[in-house]
Amino acid sequence: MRLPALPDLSPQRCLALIMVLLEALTIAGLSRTALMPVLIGGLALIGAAGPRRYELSRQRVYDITALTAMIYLGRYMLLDDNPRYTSLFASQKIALEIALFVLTLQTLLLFQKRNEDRLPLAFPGMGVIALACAAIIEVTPRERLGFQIVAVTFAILAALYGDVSRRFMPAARRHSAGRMAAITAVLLLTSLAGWGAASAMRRYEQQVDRLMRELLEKDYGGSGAVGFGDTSRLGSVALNLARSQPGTALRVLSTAPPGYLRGRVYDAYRNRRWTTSARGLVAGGQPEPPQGLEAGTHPGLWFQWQAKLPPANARRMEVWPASGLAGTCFAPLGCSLLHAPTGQISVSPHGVIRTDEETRGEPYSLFVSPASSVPASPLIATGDEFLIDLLDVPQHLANNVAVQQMATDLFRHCRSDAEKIRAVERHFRESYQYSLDVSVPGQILDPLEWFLEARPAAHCEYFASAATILLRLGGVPSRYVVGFVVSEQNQFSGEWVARHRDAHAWSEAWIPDRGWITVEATPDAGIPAPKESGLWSQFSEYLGHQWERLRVELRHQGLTRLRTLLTQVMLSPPGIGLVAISGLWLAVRIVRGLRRERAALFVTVPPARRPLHQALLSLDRVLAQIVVERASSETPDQFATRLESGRLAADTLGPRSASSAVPESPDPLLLADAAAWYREYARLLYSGADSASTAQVLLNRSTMLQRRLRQRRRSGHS
Amino acid sequence: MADISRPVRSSRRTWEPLTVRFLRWLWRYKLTPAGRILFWNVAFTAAGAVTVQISVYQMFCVLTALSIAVAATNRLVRPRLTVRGELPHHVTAGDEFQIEFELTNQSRWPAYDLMLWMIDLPRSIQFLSADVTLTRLASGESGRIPLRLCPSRRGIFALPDLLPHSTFPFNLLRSRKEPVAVGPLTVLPRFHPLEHFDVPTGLRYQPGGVAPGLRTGESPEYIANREYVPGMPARRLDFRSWARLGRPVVREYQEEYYCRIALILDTWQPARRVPPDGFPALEAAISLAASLADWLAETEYLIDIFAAGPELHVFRAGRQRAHFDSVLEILAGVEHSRTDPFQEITPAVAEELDSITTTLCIFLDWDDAREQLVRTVLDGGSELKVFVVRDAPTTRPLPDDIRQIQQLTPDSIQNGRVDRL
Repeated sequence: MRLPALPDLSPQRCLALIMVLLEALTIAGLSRTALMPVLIGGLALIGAAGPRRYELSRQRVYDITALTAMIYLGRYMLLDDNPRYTSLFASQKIALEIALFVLTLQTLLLFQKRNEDRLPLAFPGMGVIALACAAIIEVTPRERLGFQIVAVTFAILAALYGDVSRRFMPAARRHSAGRMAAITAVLLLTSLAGWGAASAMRRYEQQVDRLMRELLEKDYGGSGAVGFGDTSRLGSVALNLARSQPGTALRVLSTAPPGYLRGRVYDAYRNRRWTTSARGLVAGGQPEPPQGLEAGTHPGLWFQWQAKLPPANARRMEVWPASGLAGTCFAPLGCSLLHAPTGQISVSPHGVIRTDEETRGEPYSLFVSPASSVPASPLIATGDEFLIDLLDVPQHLANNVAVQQMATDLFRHCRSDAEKIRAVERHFRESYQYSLDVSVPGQILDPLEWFLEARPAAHCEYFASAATILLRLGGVPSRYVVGFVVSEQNQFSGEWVARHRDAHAWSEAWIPDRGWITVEATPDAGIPAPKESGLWSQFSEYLGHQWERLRVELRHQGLTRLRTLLTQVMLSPPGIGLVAISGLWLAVRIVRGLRRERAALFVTVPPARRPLHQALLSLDRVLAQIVVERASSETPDQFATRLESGRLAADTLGPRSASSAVPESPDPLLLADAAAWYREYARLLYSGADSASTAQVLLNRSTMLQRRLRQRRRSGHS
Repeated sequence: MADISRPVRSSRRTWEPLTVRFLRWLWRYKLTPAGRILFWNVAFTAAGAVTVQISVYQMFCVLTALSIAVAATNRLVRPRLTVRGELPHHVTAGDEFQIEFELTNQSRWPAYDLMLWMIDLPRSIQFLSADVTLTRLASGESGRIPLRLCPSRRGIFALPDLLPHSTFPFNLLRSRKEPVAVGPLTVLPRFHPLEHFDVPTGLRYQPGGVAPGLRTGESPEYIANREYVPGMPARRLDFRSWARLGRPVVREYQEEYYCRIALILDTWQPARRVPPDGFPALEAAISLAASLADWLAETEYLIDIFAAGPELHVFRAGRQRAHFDSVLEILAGVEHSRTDPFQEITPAVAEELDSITTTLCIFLDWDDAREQLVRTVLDGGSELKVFVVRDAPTTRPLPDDIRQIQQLTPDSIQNGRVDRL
């Protein structure tokens, strides 16, 4: 029996085969399952070097791909999960099947007969996907080293694959020493740089992690939402401050400075971050306002989560948040009534109000009780026994001798909770320095503990966290709060403005007879204060705010608001002037358009012939005023014949010439000249013999003719 | 006649953010197809590199290192090249053609992996030699590299600049490019020559007759001698033959009377957007017009008037084959007309009918405007033949009283099934 001849193994196919085998080996090693990778690797060997290749239509390729995908989906659904691919997150286990699926597709490509026996350029790209999917597991140090070698090898193979995936000129000297040396150097450099970068990334994981987080949060749009999540690290809010963004985060319409507007409140400090386990109370809204209150200035429902209505002297605040702050209602302490364009809200026991994120950029109104009113209960919809949670201190801080000593020293002479609060505020504001640039040493486990021990210069989150912990050690229930301090006012609109740089962290402490007290432990340099901004920037902000307001109103009220607005604008003096100018402009445009339409008898006029065409239209116009009008369907030759014949009446010209002017007093000589001009024009137009000199002569003759015709008209009138 | 080629878009869009402009430049100019795949791979692995807990970051680091190393090398070894070569004046749609360009390395260092590229090539022109590489060119050395293009449809294309560049190393990035202008390319329409075409001719007086031929260097043709019959003009007597034969003999000439043809092509297509391969019916009509013009040029007919859409071209310069080339060049650039051109063209055609023997109309539909033109032609005394190129039924039914109308499908014309008319 004679075996079929083996096809040539091109460099490209050779590299592709090595890549597939490398991928199969890697997947087998990482997944610790050898059957499928080995099977696919064997098939790849047969496909690349074997005797048979198959010509497949595009439809057949789609069918095979879909079938393969279904097989692997079935595997994913039916077989037991690979334990290595279940430890990190739920969707991780499909990664192995994706890797095997891509590897299978690559193998099938090796079986396919293709144009000039060339594989697709995306072949290494598929390999990267397979390897990346296979690597979504927690690896041992040895596996990490092995994968590093695989990554470098694969990159080299992919680069060489790109190099050989083109057609070289046959006569060219392909392998020059300089070229080979340069390629080797680049590959060596790539290997070293890639290895070094991966090692550095591993070694400086925390710094890289922080950098990535900052970058990602920056890319999130600098919206100011940073730091207002479910957890808060020491530094989350400072990101806003470090960027020193002048962009507006909140605009507040209020009769008095809004002061501290709370965004999130946290009650537990765990694993170097503040968290909260308090579940919110879900409240539904009512379309009508409570008795005694006027209807809102914007659409929305009314939400009330405390039985006691706000007193009659409750302060109303209308808040316009930036779109990035959707989901959180920034409100001061003592807020118990909300008017917002959302279906339902949730209010945490600490009084933090959350809404749908769909209400992006929509305004909401708050009603705030006076500072003197004491709430009936410290926590909303929760028993007072939960106040004990606000005294919880992490074990490592409670056992820290230095921290204990600090608390003891601070509270030694304090007789009441209020005195303890003042002592804490005084301690931090007088003994510490403020700085946004906090560099925590690499070996430190808890930055807050380090802050309390080493007393470095730090920012508001450190001061607020430390104050909260110290107050808890002193037996005062306290909580950690992040939000904005609003103290800047726009001179044009009267609105209070909080910028992203006004983000702040502070503490709140509970005193039974006074309610919740804001504890400001940050030195003065770190408390957001109004900054001078120029009149022009204030004015431009005012315009921007007005536009935003108009946009929201239009969105809610639609055409009604638009009609009202247009009526207002039209009836104002500038509006009347604008309408007059627009009307005039429109009239001019219409007249010009009509003229142009009349002139557009032959619509397609090449640019070179436009002057001559204009001359034709001018002559038409002058003749129409004096003698006779050329009908729109009449060619220049036909018109010339009519002029020569002296039959100037329009009835011979068909239906479109019904409006032709009745001739006054035709001058035969003049008409003959005009007819000659039209004939010459037609000859030039249709003969194709386009001569610039002839055209110029015609132009001159047209001018002369028009002048003579006008003289004739003047003499006729006189 | 309008130039149907797509204008080269300005690469400067100053209103775009710098990042977007950089990415656009990277994607459109800098990255080769293989480089684009590397770019996607870097982006894909970057998503997995947000944590070092999984090993994807290692892949990301290596691929990023490869990208940077390739970019640096590509910049370091960028060549200085001069290019020589010339495009053909015109080619035919569907025909591949190849031009060899000569590249000369002007730098002091050897240049590697040299390629030719054209960015923003019109969609209907396929670049078949995009990955052909000249591996090495020493300093001062010259080499030839082919540029193979295949235009799929007719047109006058302002080809984009030719960009000689280097993709060294690994065919991932393109080095700096010195653009070389190559000028426009006229792609003539593809047509199938007719085997037979029955041109209807009448007994109408042919103004001009031999006169135009005389003006272009031709004369009445001598055919044969024949015996003298009383009454024949004495100036035709052939005295030498009379002396030789002993009886009076006259020379016989053939007087040349040319049939003058008006060819009217309908270009009306109301659609605003032109499909990538043009409107099938219009393209077929153009192909048919080219076939007719070819037949007429091969035989004793002159195209006197050629109306393509709203454009009227009048040829009265003899009966050279250059005539046919002119028609083809006009057909190459014919654009569809969104307004019905017959309201404009009918009066102009009617004016020229006095000297026309036969009018050939190629319509894309049959409606009032076209019928009016046809009746104008018939009233003017010209013979007529009408072809309606359309797949579907016409807007108005074809009239019974005009027998010279024939409907053809675009498919049959394009596939060469129409060879006898």
